[in-house]
Amino acid sequence: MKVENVHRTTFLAGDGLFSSNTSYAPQYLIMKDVNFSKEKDFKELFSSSTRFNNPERFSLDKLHLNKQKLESFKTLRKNWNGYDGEQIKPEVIDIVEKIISKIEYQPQIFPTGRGSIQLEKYFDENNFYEIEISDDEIFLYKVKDGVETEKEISIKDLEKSIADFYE
Amino acid sequence: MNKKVLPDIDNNEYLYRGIIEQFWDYENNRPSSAVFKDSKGVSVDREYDRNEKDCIGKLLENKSFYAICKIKKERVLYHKAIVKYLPVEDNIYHSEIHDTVEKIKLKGSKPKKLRDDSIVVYKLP
Repeated sequence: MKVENVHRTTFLAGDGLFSSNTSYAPQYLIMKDVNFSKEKDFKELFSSSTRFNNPERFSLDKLHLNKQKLESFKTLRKNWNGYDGEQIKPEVIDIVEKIISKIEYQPQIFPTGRGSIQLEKYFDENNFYEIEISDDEIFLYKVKDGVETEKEISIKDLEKSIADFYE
Repeated sequence: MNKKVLPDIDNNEYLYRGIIEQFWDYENNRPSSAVFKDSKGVSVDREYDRNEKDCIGKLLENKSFYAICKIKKERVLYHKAIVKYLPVEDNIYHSEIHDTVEKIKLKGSKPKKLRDDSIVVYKLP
Protein backbone atom coordinates (compact mmCIF):
# COMPACT_ATOMS: atom_id res chain seq x y z
CA MET A 1 0.00 0.00 0.00
CA LYS A 2 1.36 3.37 -0.94
CA VAL A 3 2.30 5.68 1.82
CA GLU A 4 2.60 9.27 0.77
CA ASN A 5 2.23 11.05 3.99
CA VAL A 6 3.13 9.83 7.38
CA HIS A 7 -0.12 10.18 9.05
CA ARG A 8 -0.44 10.08 12.72
CA THR A 9 -3.59 8.67 14.03
CA THR A 10 -4.66 8.50 17.56
CA PHE A 11 -6.97 5.95 19.03
CA LEU A 12 -8.59 7.28 22.12
CA ALA A 13 -8.94 4.45 24.57
CA GLY A 14 -12.18 4.25 26.39
CA ASP A 15 -14.05 6.50 24.02
CA GLY A 16 -13.74 4.31 20.98
CA LEU A 17 -13.06 7.30 18.83
CA PHE A 18 -10.70 7.20 15.95
CA SER A 19 -9.47 10.63 15.09
CA SER A 20 -7.05 11.87 12.52
CA ASN A 21 -5.91 15.14 11.15
CA THR A 22 -8.08 16.92 8.67
CA SER A 23 -5.45 18.05 6.21
CA TYR A 24 -6.09 17.95 2.49
CA ALA A 25 -3.30 15.52 1.91
CA PRO A 26 -4.36 12.02 1.05
CA GLN A 27 -4.60 9.86 4.07
CA TYR A 28 -3.42 6.33 4.29
CA LEU A 29 -3.07 3.84 7.02
CA ILE A 30 0.48 3.38 8.09
CA MET A 31 1.51 -0.03 6.87
CA LYS A 32 5.27 0.00 6.54
CA ASP A 33 8.38 2.09 6.78
CA VAL A 34 6.95 3.63 9.82
CA ASN A 35 9.55 5.22 11.92
CA PHE A 36 8.73 4.48 15.47
CA SER A 37 12.06 5.26 17.00
CA LYS A 38 11.45 3.02 19.91
CA GLU A 39 9.06 0.18 20.40
CA LYS A 40 8.20 1.78 23.69
CA ASP A 41 6.88 4.87 21.94
CA PHE A 42 4.66 2.69 19.79
CA LYS A 43 3.26 0.93 22.81
CA GLU A 44 2.71 4.20 24.59
CA LEU A 45 0.95 5.64 21.58
CA PHE A 46 -1.42 2.76 21.12
CA SER A 47 -1.72 1.22 24.53
CA SER A 48 -4.54 2.29 26.69
CA SER A 49 -3.75 4.06 29.87
CA THR A 50 -3.55 1.84 32.89
CA ARG A 51 -5.94 4.28 34.44
CA PHE A 52 -8.59 2.86 32.18
CA ASN A 53 -7.46 -0.71 31.75
CA ASN A 54 -6.42 -1.62 35.27
CA PRO A 55 -9.23 -3.88 36.49
CA GLU A 56 -8.03 -3.44 40.05
CA ARG A 57 -8.72 0.29 40.01
CA PHE A 58 -12.16 1.40 41.13
CA SER A 59 -13.37 -2.18 41.04
CA LEU A 60 -17.06 -2.08 41.88
CA ASP A 61 -17.16 -5.85 42.29
CA LYS A 62 -14.47 -5.78 44.95
CA LEU A 63 -16.03 -2.81 46.69
CA HIS A 64 -19.37 -4.60 46.75
CA LEU A 65 -17.75 -7.74 48.16
CA ASN A 66 -15.99 -5.74 50.86
CA LYS A 67 -19.19 -3.97 51.82
CA GLN A 68 -20.89 -7.34 52.16
CA LYS A 69 -18.08 -8.52 54.39
CA LEU A 70 -18.40 -5.43 56.57
CA GLU A 71 -22.11 -6.05 56.85
CA SER A 72 -21.36 -9.59 58.07
CA PHE A 73 -19.00 -8.24 60.75
CA LYS A 74 -21.99 -6.53 62.38
CA THR A 75 -23.38 -9.96 63.25
CA LEU A 76 -20.25 -11.23 65.01
CA ARG A 77 -21.07 -11.90 68.65
CA LYS A 78 -18.79 -12.39 71.64
CA ASN A 79 -16.55 -15.43 71.19
CA TRP A 80 -17.24 -15.48 67.45
CA ASN A 81 -13.76 -16.87 66.72
CA GLY A 82 -13.76 -19.58 69.40
CA TYR A 83 -11.24 -17.58 71.47
CA ASP A 84 -13.36 -14.93 73.24
CA GLY A 85 -13.24 -12.75 70.17
CA GLU A 86 -14.65 -9.26 70.76
CA GLN A 87 -17.49 -7.80 68.78
CA ILE A 88 -16.56 -5.20 66.19
CA LYS A 89 -17.97 -1.83 67.22
CA PRO A 90 -20.31 -0.12 64.71
CA GLU A 91 -18.02 2.96 64.75
CA VAL A 92 -15.09 0.88 63.52
CA ILE A 93 -17.20 -0.65 60.76
CA ASP A 94 -18.38 2.82 59.75
CA ILE A 95 -14.82 4.14 59.56
CA VAL A 96 -13.75 1.24 57.37
CA GLU A 97 -16.77 1.62 55.11
CA LYS A 98 -15.97 5.30 54.55
CA ILE A 99 -12.37 4.39 53.80
CA ILE A 100 -13.09 1.64 51.30
CA SER A 101 -15.70 3.78 49.55
CA LYS A 102 -13.03 6.37 48.82
CA ILE A 103 -9.89 4.44 47.95
CA GLU A 104 -9.02 3.49 44.39
CA TYR A 105 -7.78 -0.04 45.02
CA GLN A 106 -9.71 -2.41 47.24
CA PRO A 107 -7.73 -4.37 49.81
CA GLN A 108 -8.83 -7.59 51.45
CA ILE A 109 -10.52 -7.04 54.81
CA PHE A 110 -10.59 -9.27 57.89
CA PRO A 111 -11.95 -8.94 61.41
CA THR A 112 -9.64 -9.52 64.39
CA GLY A 113 -10.37 -11.01 67.77
CA ARG A 114 -9.63 -7.68 69.44
CA GLY A 115 -12.44 -5.76 67.78
CA SER A 116 -10.42 -4.20 64.99
CA ILE A 117 -10.55 -4.64 61.23
CA GLN A 118 -7.51 -5.36 59.12
CA LEU A 119 -7.06 -4.09 55.57
CA GLU A 120 -4.35 -5.95 53.73
CA LYS A 121 -2.93 -6.58 50.31
CA TYR A 122 -0.10 -8.90 49.39
CA PHE A 123 1.76 -8.35 46.11
CA ASP A 124 4.89 -10.34 46.91
CA GLU A 125 7.19 -10.86 49.85
CA ASN A 126 8.84 -7.47 49.32
CA ASN A 127 5.62 -5.54 48.75
CA PHE A 128 2.56 -5.80 50.96
CA TYR A 129 0.65 -3.84 53.57
CA GLU A 130 -1.50 -4.55 56.61
CA ILE A 131 -3.48 -1.73 58.19
CA GLU A 132 -5.27 -2.44 61.46
CA ILE A 133 -8.15 -0.08 62.23
CA SER A 134 -9.55 0.06 65.76
CA ASP A 135 -11.64 2.69 67.52
CA ASP A 136 -8.58 4.49 68.88
CA GLU A 137 -5.83 3.84 66.38
CA ILE A 138 -4.86 3.08 62.81
CA PHE A 139 -1.68 1.03 62.68
CA LEU A 140 0.28 0.42 59.52
CA TYR A 141 2.68 -2.39 58.85
CA LYS A 142 4.07 -2.39 55.34
CA VAL A 143 6.96 -3.65 53.31
CA LYS A 144 7.60 -1.63 50.16
CA ASP A 145 10.45 -2.69 47.89
CA GLY A 146 11.80 -4.70 50.79
CA VAL A 147 11.78 -1.83 53.28
CA GLU A 148 9.75 -2.48 56.41
CA THR A 149 7.71 0.21 58.19
CA GLU A 150 5.55 -0.06 61.31
CA LYS A 151 3.77 3.01 62.69
CA GLU A 152 0.55 4.65 63.71
CA ILE A 153 -0.98 6.71 60.91
CA SER A 154 -3.91 9.04 60.30
CA ILE A 155 -6.84 8.38 57.97
CA LYS A 156 -5.37 10.96 55.61
CA ASP A 157 -2.10 9.01 55.43
CA LEU A 158 -3.95 5.73 54.93
CA GLU A 159 -5.11 6.51 51.40
CA LYS A 160 -1.64 7.55 50.34
CA SER A 161 -0.09 4.49 51.98
CA ILE A 162 -2.25 2.25 49.81
CA ALA A 163 -1.89 4.35 46.65
CA ASP A 164 1.92 4.18 46.96
CA PHE A 165 1.83 0.53 45.99
CA TYR A 166 0.21 1.29 42.66
CA GLU A 167 2.45 4.08 41.43
CA MET B 1 -7.81 -31.04 94.92
CA ASN B 2 -4.52 -30.88 93.03
CA LYS B 3 -4.72 -29.52 89.51
CA LYS B 4 -2.52 -31.39 87.07
CA VAL B 5 0.10 -29.15 85.54
CA LEU B 6 2.43 -30.12 82.75
CA PRO B 7 6.10 -29.19 82.63
CA ASP B 8 7.32 -26.11 80.74
CA ILE B 9 6.81 -26.06 76.99
CA ASP B 10 9.77 -27.49 75.12
CA ASN B 11 11.13 -25.39 72.25
CA ASN B 12 10.40 -28.20 69.83
CA GLU B 13 6.78 -28.46 70.85
CA TYR B 14 4.12 -27.36 68.42
CA LEU B 15 1.36 -24.93 69.33
CA TYR B 16 -2.04 -25.34 67.66
CA ARG B 17 -4.62 -22.65 66.86
CA GLY B 18 -8.06 -22.93 65.30
CA ILE B 19 -9.00 -20.72 62.35
CA ILE B 20 -12.57 -19.81 61.40
CA GLU B 21 -13.44 -19.09 57.80
CA GLN B 22 -13.57 -15.31 58.27
CA PHE B 23 -9.78 -15.41 58.65
CA TRP B 24 -9.14 -17.36 55.49
CA ASP B 25 -7.34 -15.49 52.70
CA TYR B 26 -8.63 -17.16 49.55
CA GLU B 27 -6.47 -15.00 47.30
CA ASN B 28 -3.30 -16.43 48.77
CA ASN B 29 -4.71 -19.71 50.13
CA ARG B 30 -3.64 -19.19 53.72
CA PRO B 31 -4.93 -17.61 56.93
CA SER B 32 -4.68 -13.84 57.33
CA SER B 33 -2.26 -12.62 59.98
CA ALA B 34 -5.41 -11.28 61.66
CA VAL B 35 -5.73 -14.78 63.16
CA PHE B 36 -2.86 -13.85 65.47
CA LYS B 37 -4.43 -10.61 66.69
CA ASP B 38 -6.25 -10.95 69.97
CA SER B 39 -6.47 -8.58 72.92
CA LYS B 40 -5.75 -11.04 75.72
CA GLY B 41 -2.89 -13.08 74.28
CA VAL B 42 -3.17 -15.47 71.35
CA SER B 43 -4.54 -18.70 72.77
CA VAL B 44 -2.98 -21.90 71.50
CA ASP B 45 -3.00 -25.54 72.59
CA ARG B 46 0.40 -26.98 73.27
CA GLU B 47 1.25 -30.36 71.80
CA TYR B 48 2.93 -31.90 74.87
CA ASP B 49 2.96 -35.69 74.36
CA ARG B 50 -0.03 -35.94 72.02
CA ASN B 51 -0.07 -36.87 68.37
CA GLU B 52 -1.33 -34.42 65.77
CA LYS B 53 -4.66 -36.15 65.28
CA ASP B 54 -5.44 -35.78 68.98
CA CYS B 55 -4.37 -32.12 68.97
CA ILE B 56 -6.70 -31.42 66.05
CA GLY B 57 -9.50 -33.48 67.54
CA LYS B 58 -9.44 -31.60 70.83
CA LEU B 59 -9.73 -28.24 69.07
CA LEU B 60 -12.60 -29.45 66.91
CA GLU B 61 -14.49 -30.63 70.00
CA ASN B 62 -14.91 -26.99 71.00
CA LYS B 63 -15.68 -25.43 67.63
CA SER B 64 -16.05 -26.45 63.99
CA PHE B 65 -12.99 -24.59 62.85
CA TYR B 66 -12.48 -24.08 59.14
CA ALA B 67 -8.77 -24.78 59.50
CA ILE B 68 -6.13 -25.45 62.14
CA CYS B 69 -2.52 -24.34 62.04
CA LYS B 70 0.51 -25.13 64.16
CA ILE B 71 3.76 -23.34 64.87
CA LYS B 72 6.81 -24.50 66.80
CA LYS B 73 7.61 -22.67 70.01
CA GLU B 74 11.18 -22.04 68.80
CA ARG B 75 9.83 -20.11 65.80
CA VAL B 76 7.74 -17.94 68.10
CA LEU B 77 10.85 -17.17 70.13
CA TYR B 78 12.82 -16.53 66.93
CA HIS B 79 10.40 -13.74 66.09
CA LYS B 80 10.90 -12.29 69.58
CA ALA B 81 7.47 -13.16 70.89
CA ILE B 82 6.98 -15.31 73.99
CA VAL B 83 4.92 -18.36 74.89
CA LYS B 84 3.31 -18.83 78.28
CA TYR B 85 1.90 -22.10 79.53
CA LEU B 86 -1.42 -21.16 81.19
CA PRO B 87 -3.59 -24.23 81.84
CA VAL B 88 -7.26 -23.63 82.57
CA GLU B 89 -9.88 -25.78 84.21
CA ASP B 90 -11.15 -27.46 81.06
CA ASN B 91 -7.96 -27.35 79.05
CA ILE B 92 -4.68 -28.52 80.51
CA TYR B 93 -2.91 -27.69 77.22
CA HIS B 94 -3.95 -24.03 77.06
CA SER B 95 -1.09 -21.62 76.40
CA GLU B 96 -0.76 -18.10 75.04
CA ILE B 97 1.52 -16.22 72.70
CA HIS B 98 2.37 -12.70 73.86
CA ASP B 99 4.31 -9.91 72.16
CA THR B 100 6.91 -9.58 74.95
CA VAL B 101 7.19 -10.19 78.67
CA GLU B 102 5.72 -6.71 79.30
CA LYS B 103 3.24 -6.49 76.42
CA ILE B 104 0.48 -8.96 75.60
CA LYS B 105 -0.89 -7.70 72.26
CA LEU B 106 0.99 -8.84 69.15
CA LYS B 107 1.37 -5.98 66.74
CA GLY B 108 3.03 -4.92 63.50
CA SER B 109 5.28 -7.49 61.88
CA LYS B 110 5.01 -10.27 64.46
CA PRO B 111 1.54 -11.60 63.57
CA LYS B 112 2.53 -11.76 59.91
CA LYS B 113 5.80 -13.53 60.65
CA LEU B 114 4.06 -16.04 62.89
CA ARG B 115 1.50 -16.66 60.18
CA ASP B 116 4.27 -17.19 57.64
CA ASP B 117 5.92 -19.78 59.89
CA SER B 118 2.67 -21.59 60.66
CA ILE B 119 1.72 -24.84 59.00
CA VAL B 120 -1.91 -25.53 58.16
CA VAL B 121 -2.55 -29.09 59.32
CA TYR B 122 -6.30 -29.26 58.87
CA LYS B 123 -8.71 -27.57 56.52
CA LEU B 124 -12.26 -28.26 55.55
CA PRO B 125 -12.45 -29.53 51.97
